Order: sequence, then structure tokens, then C-alpha cells
Amino acid sequence: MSDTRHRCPSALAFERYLLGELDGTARARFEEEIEACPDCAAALEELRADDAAFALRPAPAALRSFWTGEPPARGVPWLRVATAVAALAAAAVLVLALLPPRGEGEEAGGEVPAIGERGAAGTTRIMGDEATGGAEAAGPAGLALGFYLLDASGRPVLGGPGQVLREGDLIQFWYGGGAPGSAVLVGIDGRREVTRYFPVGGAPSSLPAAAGRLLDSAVQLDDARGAERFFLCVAPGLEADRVEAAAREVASSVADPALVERLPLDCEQATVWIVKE
Amino acid sequence: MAATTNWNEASILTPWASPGDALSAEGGLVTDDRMEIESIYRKYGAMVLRRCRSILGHDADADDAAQEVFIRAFRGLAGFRRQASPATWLYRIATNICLNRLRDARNRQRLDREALPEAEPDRPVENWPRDLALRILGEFDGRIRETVMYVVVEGMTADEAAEVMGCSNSLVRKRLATFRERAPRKAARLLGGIR
Repeated sequence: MSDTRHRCPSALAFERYLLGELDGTARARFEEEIEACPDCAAALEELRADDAAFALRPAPAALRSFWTGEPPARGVPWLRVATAVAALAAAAVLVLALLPPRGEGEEAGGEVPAIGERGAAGTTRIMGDEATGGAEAAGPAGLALGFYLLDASGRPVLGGPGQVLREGDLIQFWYGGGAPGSAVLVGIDGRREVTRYFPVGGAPSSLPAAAGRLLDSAVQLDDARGAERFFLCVAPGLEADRVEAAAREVASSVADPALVERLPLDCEQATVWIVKE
Repeated sequence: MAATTNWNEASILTPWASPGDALSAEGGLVTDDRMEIESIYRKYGAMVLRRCRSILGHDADADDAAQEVFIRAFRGLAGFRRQASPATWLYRIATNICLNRLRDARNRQRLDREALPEAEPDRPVENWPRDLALRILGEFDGRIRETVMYVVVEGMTADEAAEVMGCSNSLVRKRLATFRERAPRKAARLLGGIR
């Protein structure tokens, strides 16, 4: 005997019906099921009401920026075109020295150094730190990590996950959101080697919560081929050694470290990855 | 990028560009893409948000996850255009993002503080409370998690789940069998550890 019990359509079937994705036969079958089930009919009406309510909601600024082309109000101002790229030669990953921290009395929004400009401490940056504006405490938002790179004509452009880069390319990281705390940025490269990119030497540096801020130094990529994943870890009192140890654990125990999205550490994290050809 | 908590407006600085995307002088997407992206959000936004809420429950987390779904979709615009069923494609992305978030240590800590489900781990997994099934899912790998989500938690048939995931019915059954075999032990350990 066949099973004649009513079976409600799946949640996905409801959605596809509302979106007009069901073909004639499937649509007719769905409507028969709805007609036979008052609960399903009520659920469908609720979804329609929810659709209407959603249509009245403004899109989040972070998404809206994708189609307006304008960054959220507190985000990074659009890239400034610079005129020159410093030629940096290094066979291995070279992390250039960080600029001395800005004094408390200095104002934000100062002059953006040209690409490749060397600061007093020998720093090279793709973007000036003060390009970020609005870098004051932004409250507890999710931590985000990304980077800028230079295109073929030397213009700074946003990089994205899976970006294909080459030996010698320069990248400069930005971060946003998150609570203030000690920050450590590490990478696991295609040779499973762990490199600390921030802070460079010394004690962990504290990062303020920020809507968007650049790490001071640019990084020149070495010749390790394959995917490299970067992790930004932030927590009060976070020790760089702990982060590096967690990264080494991942590098030595996971089949493909580039697929790992979190280090085994209890702290706020953000990650991004690249591919080196 | 894996922002893990409360991704608000300020935490996304500028649109990401995928490798190979056409870029404007400012590094953003070209105009035609922008119009398409907005229409995608308008059309599928409610569905994605509902999907995230159905798994995460927590409104702020759901909003945050829904943003991540769309950012992934926008970055993979070429992939989106190839989909016969964009709704199914986004539904799967939302499912996996939310399940990953459930696995996130902080979310698990939050869940652990909430009311524990009344459960008897030796009952058939299909009859487990939804909360317990969701919690156990974090102990399994991605494919099994997704399969169990559709079949055990949401009540899809194996055929429906296979269609959604683009795999065979037998593979769905195999994943379910793995889950049934291992879940009771994991549930006993989880409940024993919490209580």
C-alpha cells in the first residue's frame, strides 16, 4: 500500500515557488499541496508578508556600496592614484619596518605618502595610514581583513580572496571592525611556512577598533608558490608566540592549510588568502 | 574573508573585487555588474535572510550571515549567472555559512548557555529535537553537515536533498548512514559534557 500521508513541501520549495523558479508541473504540484494543507497555506502567506516587509528595509550600507560604488560613510576613502613605485628587491618575504606610531596629539587625515615613499624608519607603504579616516573606535563590529596591491601600471587596487600574485608583488593589509586589542597577523604559505607580518619584532602592538585602517607597512612576497592564507588575530594581551604556534600547528597537521578559516585560538579573527604563481 | 561576528555596516570598507573582474578606476565593479548585483539582492534578499534566521535564530547573527552570503555571491558573479536555480545556489551558500557559524566557538558557547534540548541520544536521529541535531552537526564535516541539515533537520527526502546538492541519492544515504552511526556517541558525549 502506498504512503498517502501528506508531506509538506520543503522550505526551499516554498522559496522557489515564490521566486517563480518552479516549472509548470512542479508549480502545479506545489499548489495542490498548499491547497490540501491549511498550515502550508498559512506559511505561504507569512512568507509573502515577510517578502513585503523586506522590500521596505534599506539594504545594509556594506552591500549597498557594491552597486552604488560608494564606500560606506565611515570606510576607507577611494584609492588615490600615486605616481611612482619604489623598486624593492628581495628574494624572501620582506616585511618592511613599521612607521613609528603616531603621537596622540597628531591629527588624523594628514597627507597620504606617495606609493613607495620611504618614511623616516625606512618604511614602504602602498597606501598612507591616514587614508582611512574615521579610524576612531567604531564599537564591537566583526573583524575584517583585506589588502591592497599595485596593478601593472602601479595604481593601488583592492585585492580579493584568491587573488593571483607573483614574487616581488607588494601588498598592504587593511583591517576593520573588531574590538581593540593586541593584534598579530601571520601567514601560512605554500611551503607550509609560517611568517609573522605584524607586529614586526618586539611586543605585540595594540590595534584600536576601527572602521577601516591600514597596517603601516607593505609586504613584498617571496617565491613560495601556491596558496598563502593570512590570519589577523586580535584579543587583549594576545601573545604573538601563541598565534605563531597555532599557525604552525595548522601548517603541520592540516591537509590543505589554505582551506582553514580559523586558527585554533580563542580570539577574534579574520582571514584572507592569495595564490602565488 | 571570514568575519565571524556582528558584521555591521562599518566593517565592510569597500566592495571586494574578484580576480579577473573588470574594475573601474576606483577599483570597484563596472556599472552593468552593479545593476545586476542590486537586482540580485532585491530579489533574493528576503529568502537569504529567512534562511539564515531559520538556522541561527539570532537576528544580529542572521543579518551578519546574510551579508556574507551576498558578498560571496557578488564576488562570484560569474558563478551566479551559470546557475539554473539561483535560489538553490544561494540557499546552499547560506546553509553552509550558517552551519560554519554555528560551529564557531563563540556561537557554541552561546548555544551552550541557552536552554538545553531534552534529548535521548538513543532515539532515532530523525526524531531528535532540532536544537540537538544542529548542535551535533558541528561535529561533522561539511558534506555530512549539509546533508543532515536538509534531511534530518528540515525533513527533505533523500531525492530532494540530492537534487539540491547536485549529487546522487545513494551518496545522500551514505552520508546519513555515517551520521546515524556516529551521532549518538557524539550526542552522549556532548550532553554528558554539558550537564
